[in-house]
Amino acid sequence: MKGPWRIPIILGIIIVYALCWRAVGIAPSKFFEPQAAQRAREIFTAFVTPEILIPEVSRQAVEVPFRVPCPPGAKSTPEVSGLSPQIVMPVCASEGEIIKVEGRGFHPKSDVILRWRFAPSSQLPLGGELVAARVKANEDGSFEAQIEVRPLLAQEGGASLQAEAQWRTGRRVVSPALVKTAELMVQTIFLALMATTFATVIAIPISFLAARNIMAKGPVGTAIYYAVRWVLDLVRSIEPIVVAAIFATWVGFGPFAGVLALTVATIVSLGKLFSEVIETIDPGPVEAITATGANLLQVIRYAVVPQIVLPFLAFIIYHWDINIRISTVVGFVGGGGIGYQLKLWIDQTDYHKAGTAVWAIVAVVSVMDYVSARLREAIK
Amino acid sequence: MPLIVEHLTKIYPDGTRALNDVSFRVEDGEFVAIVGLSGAGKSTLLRCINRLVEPTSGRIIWNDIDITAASPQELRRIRRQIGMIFQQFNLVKRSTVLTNVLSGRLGYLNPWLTLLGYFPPAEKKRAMEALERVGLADLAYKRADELSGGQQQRVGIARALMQEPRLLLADEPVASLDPVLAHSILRYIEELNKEGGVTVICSLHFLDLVHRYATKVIGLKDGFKVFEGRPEEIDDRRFKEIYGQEAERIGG
Ligand SMILES: Nc1ncnc2c1ncn2[C@@H]1O[C@H](COP(=O)(O)OP(=O)(O)OP(=O)(O)O)[C@@H](O)[C@H]1O
Ligand SMILES: [Mg+2]
Repeated sequence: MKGPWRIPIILGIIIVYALCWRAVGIAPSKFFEPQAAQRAREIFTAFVTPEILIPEVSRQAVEVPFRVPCPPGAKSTPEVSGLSPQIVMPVCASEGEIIKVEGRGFHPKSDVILRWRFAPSSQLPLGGELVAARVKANEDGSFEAQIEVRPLLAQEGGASLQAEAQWRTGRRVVSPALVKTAELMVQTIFLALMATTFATVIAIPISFLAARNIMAKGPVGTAIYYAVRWVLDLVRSIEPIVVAAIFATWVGFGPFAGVLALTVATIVSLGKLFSEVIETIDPGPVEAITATGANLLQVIRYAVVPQIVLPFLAFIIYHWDINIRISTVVGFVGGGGIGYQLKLWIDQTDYHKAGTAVWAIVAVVSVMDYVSARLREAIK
Repeated sequence: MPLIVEHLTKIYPDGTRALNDVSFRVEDGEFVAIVGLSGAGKSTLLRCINRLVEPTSGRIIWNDIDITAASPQELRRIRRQIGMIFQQFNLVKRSTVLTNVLSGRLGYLNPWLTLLGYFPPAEKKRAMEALERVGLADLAYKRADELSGGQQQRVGIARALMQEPRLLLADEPVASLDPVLAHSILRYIEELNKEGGVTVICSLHFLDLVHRYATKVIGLKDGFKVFEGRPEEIDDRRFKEIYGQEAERIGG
């Protein structure tokens, strides 16, 4: 850059960047806003303390049918239900009344939830639950609560009151989030494996059609070669995540959409890589086998295939590895597997569980990275 | 039944005139040496004969069949009777020696079975015999790239033997080998020629080898045939015609 153009060019660049800065809304101050810092700390702490083992919780429950209003002849006087634990309360009352519920023989110092439960009815087709009170049992396992009889209890399906006590046993157990993560991780690995397998089967014939040294021998072959190349380049410019979003709306959210999206992406990528392997093979054996009077398929089988099996295998393993990584991403847009669950947990602000998933992804991806590198090393 | 080459011309797509109106005739059982400088068109000529290179014009007639006009199926039938060996051996390096030799038989076998990798036991026996003839039977199950250059070229010969060829094309078969090995390889080819009655067309770089093995010489220069005759007819004047004025004779 010399001469009179230098300053206008530099000015132009500065203006372009200034416009970009505004258009993208870059605002470094957002990092340091008090709530932002608070949120960041929360998320960060949760991620570094993933949910792996959680305290074991034991439960016991008693449930008593309850009528609103009292049927003719019945009285709103306390009755004992259950042996141990047991609750003492009226079996019926009228709307708006405050009733007393006593509990005995519950686990000492346990947390007790009293909840109304509704049977399914025309009003509540799926039934339902409503927390009435939360109390704590004392040392000898008894509690007392006053609860209000809500109008909803009069619904035709009938209702009941459940007292459920929960307490920590002091033991630790594997968290359901970890179990779920492990299950979905396996699903993700299989998803990547299926996609890679389907893609390989389809990419092999395509790659021969996209190899110049195989196809560009006559006008028809050359035309096919250019057509296949063009389609591959076209599809390649669409990101897997976009393809996944399309398939998710087509076949529904879930691993199947993920498999389809990854398959498409992998066909295109492997098709191109495979065809490059084919184009760089030693032409000598091809010539020699052709000279023996072998037909095209025999030439491919005896002169081309032995030269490409190992490089193909290396690319297949490499893509399985990549696909595990991508499948965690396509999961976000409905492709199933661990990615989808991770998104759910983040949306639910369940960052400890999200942390579990993130760490599992990191672990599996690095192990696969290592394994695939070693496998590829081994088959060289 | 002779091989007749008539007005053969090859112009590559980039415009290179590799062969210009080349004509000659080869009788059964001859050992023809093709000589000429690098780029003279030797490889092109040999490859036109089995149409690994498609001639631009001219005709090649062998056993009264016009090879240049053959359909793809006919061409495969013709090719399977024409063995070919190469300067770089052109073995499939990752396959075993035995598979390389067996692949010489592909033109004769059921294509679908061979695609599955199946070769009848009789063919395996034939392949082992071919390897015995070139003294490599004990290396049958080695990978081809574990062999030395001389051994690889003998595998190349065994592969050609599987074709039971009536014509053998050899493109500088010994140019990558040291002189001692060169003679051992050429003696196998000579044996095929003398005892098996196989016609041989072989491009060679060294005139001493030409004198030792060939019964006829064709000299090429810039795609033109500049000499056709017996080896002993190559005197200093003719040598300079083939190899250019500055060339010095070293062998023969
Ligand atoms: N595929 C090709 N496309 C274009 N030109 C080619 C091709 N193959 C060979 N040629 C050219 O044709 C001419 C003859 O080549 P050819 O390989 O037949 O010579 P040669 O006598 O075998 O040489 P060498 O002794 O180096 O093997 C050369 O000028 C070469 O550059
Ligand atoms: Mg050559």
